[in-house]
Amino acid sequence: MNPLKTLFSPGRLGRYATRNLIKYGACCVSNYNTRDGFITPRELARTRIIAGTGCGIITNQGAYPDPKGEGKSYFRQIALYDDKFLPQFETIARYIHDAGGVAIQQILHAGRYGGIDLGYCVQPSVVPQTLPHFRPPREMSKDDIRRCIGEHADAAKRAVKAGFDGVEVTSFMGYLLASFNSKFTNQRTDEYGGPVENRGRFMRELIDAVKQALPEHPLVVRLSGAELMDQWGGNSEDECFELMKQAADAGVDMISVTVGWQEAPESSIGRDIAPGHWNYLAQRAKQTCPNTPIAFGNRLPSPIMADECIARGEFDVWEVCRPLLADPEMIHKAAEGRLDEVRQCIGSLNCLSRLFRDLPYSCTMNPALGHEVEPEYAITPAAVKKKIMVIGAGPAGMEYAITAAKRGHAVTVYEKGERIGGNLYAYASRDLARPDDLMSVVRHYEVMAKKLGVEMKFNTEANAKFMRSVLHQYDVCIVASGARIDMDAYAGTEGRERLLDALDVAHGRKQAGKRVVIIGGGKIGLVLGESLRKAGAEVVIVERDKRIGGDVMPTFKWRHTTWVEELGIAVHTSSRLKRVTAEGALIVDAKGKETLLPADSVIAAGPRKANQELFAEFEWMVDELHGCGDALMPRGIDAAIHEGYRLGVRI
Amino acid sequence: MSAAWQRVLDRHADLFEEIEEGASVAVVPRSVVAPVCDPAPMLLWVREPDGMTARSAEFSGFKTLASDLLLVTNDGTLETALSRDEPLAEIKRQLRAGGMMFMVLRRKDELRSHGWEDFLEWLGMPFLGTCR
Repeated sequence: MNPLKTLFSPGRLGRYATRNLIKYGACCVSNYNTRDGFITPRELARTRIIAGTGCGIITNQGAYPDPKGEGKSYFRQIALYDDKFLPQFETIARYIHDAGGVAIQQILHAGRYGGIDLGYCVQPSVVPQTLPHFRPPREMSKDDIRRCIGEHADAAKRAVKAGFDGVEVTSFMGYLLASFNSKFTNQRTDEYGGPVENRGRFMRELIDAVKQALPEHPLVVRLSGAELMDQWGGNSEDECFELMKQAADAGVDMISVTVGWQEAPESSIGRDIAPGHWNYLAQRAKQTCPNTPIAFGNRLPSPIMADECIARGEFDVWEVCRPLLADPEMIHKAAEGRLDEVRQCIGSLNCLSRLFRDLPYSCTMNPALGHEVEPEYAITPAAVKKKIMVIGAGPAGMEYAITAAKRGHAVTVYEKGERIGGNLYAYASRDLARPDDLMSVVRHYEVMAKKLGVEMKFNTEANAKFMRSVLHQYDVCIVASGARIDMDAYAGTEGRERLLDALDVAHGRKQAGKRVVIIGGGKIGLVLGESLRKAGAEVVIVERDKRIGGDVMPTFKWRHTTWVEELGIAVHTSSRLKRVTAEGALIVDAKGKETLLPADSVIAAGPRKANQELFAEFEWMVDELHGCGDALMPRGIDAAIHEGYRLGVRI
Repeated sequence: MSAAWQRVLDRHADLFEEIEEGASVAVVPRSVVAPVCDPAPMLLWVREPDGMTARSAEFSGFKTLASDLLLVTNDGTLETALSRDEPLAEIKRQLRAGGMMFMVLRRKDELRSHGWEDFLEWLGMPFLGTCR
């Protein structure tokens, strides 16, 4: 029985009926396509999965509309400025229709963030970039504006020609229309600048042109409910809603409300933002534009919360993207009352981190994303059903275990601790951003292990003696024993016996004092230091490198450096531990200067070392011996899950 | 003002070790920031052979400015930063709070070759783009 009655009610977009109130949002481009804008087989395979997510409306990722590429924001973004691109768009429209969805094509002119292949970007006024990644600005002339409007209308007609039911234009995130809307970037003195009525003129003219070109087809506009740029001179929320009203009055068929510019100094979609935090913006949009359907989804990853919001009339359509990248089956699971099986998006922003390195996006939680075209990544029944033992119930071991179990293998996991999760459990429980997001990974493995019949053996340490006791019982052994802090690295350090292991402290096996020095400013040292500081300890972090956070996800590095600042954690970089005494830690910097840091506890949080010993011990004791995750090389959750999965679909 | 900032820059000399000689940051009040403007006083942090130097200079708009970066300040925020124990840490806070803003006047590859990447990361600015 479907418990989410409202969300799964039929809806409408323009003249098209939708089977539910869920819209797949084109939240970011995939970077899977050719450098000159053609859609690839890799993209088509991914889109076929997206089409099958069960959403009533499916928005295909943004295509740039101009032949010069001024609107192109990503290296491998798709283009729609010529009919030569249409065959693949036709295929995508067909996939969406075959799956019962209404097909919307997004037109994305990135403006301030565009011109990726050019030496410049276009803007209403010359306002320098605040992020080095983007191109130097050029001011658009009125002729440029007219041409750009025409290109949008032509691209829209082309999308419909390919079979799409409607289009979406992008006036958010700092993209072209948003940069005209905002007084941060629009400092023009002509009719396109000045008061908000003038700043919104370009958007209104563009909406009008698309509506005239396609009067029978729905037009969606994505607009900022908050730019989060107001402190730098951008629009206030009041101005954002005035612009929203302009769009509604101009006749758009749906407004998709979003939050934040790419360069905004504060968080909008990271996991440090609580789910539901921005819902008030959608409510205000509904109040401002009561006759225009409002779609919303920023930091709203839960179908239950979306169902409740829509039932209360806060907005009309749940717009969802990243949670469906993490689990393309989420809508179906929700409809079938199997929400406990959903792999949640953990907001790591791995997807966006990769885009800004000009790489195809991938998903921490979904190792198959972007590999749908490769049969090797599909979970298929195993030709030979095997008895498999997995050493370690961390993300690598559990991902392997559930993948192998889905293929029909009989899987037993041996874990020396008393629960699933490994070091992720300790890391998640100390995460300042949103422990629940990371803990959802652990919960997922708990649920799926039970449902798939994976046998869990806790409090069992795997070693040669243990292996002899189970000799010939298993066909395969997977070593997913993770990594540890390499205490041997401190062999020459005087007083090393006083050092605490960061993982012992993180797991609660050892207690730290009130004054703590942490050796190692990577993610383990940072997360542990932040949590101890928050609990009231005085914390100092010592890092050998010039900067802290070297192993932190690029889109989250700033968060740690800010927390360190806000929490008042002292940091000594380019420094190493020389001696541990009863008084504290003696450190030495790159110039040889020694400093005594008073401490009750000195904790080693690095370097890390892979737990590889079992490979040698088990080599002659089992038919097949494989490894995955940090047991091969210490990295993180992303590598652990991906390697566990890849091994799972292969063995 | 320049002398006080010189002391700050000297104290944090390690932050600027990688900066190429001649590369600079212009520190300018928000009220005068424009492509071209009437000459207005600004503070310049410029890398010289012995390290980072703070000196006064004239700002005539960012269009002709030779600096790599523009640190735009709101009224009083620079003075407030200087009055704190750790002025650069205060700048970092102001960048987050909106009291100051960095503008980038060179391409990413130029900034990287001029040695700014570590400094900008230290300030909490993602050297590459980001959605937060």
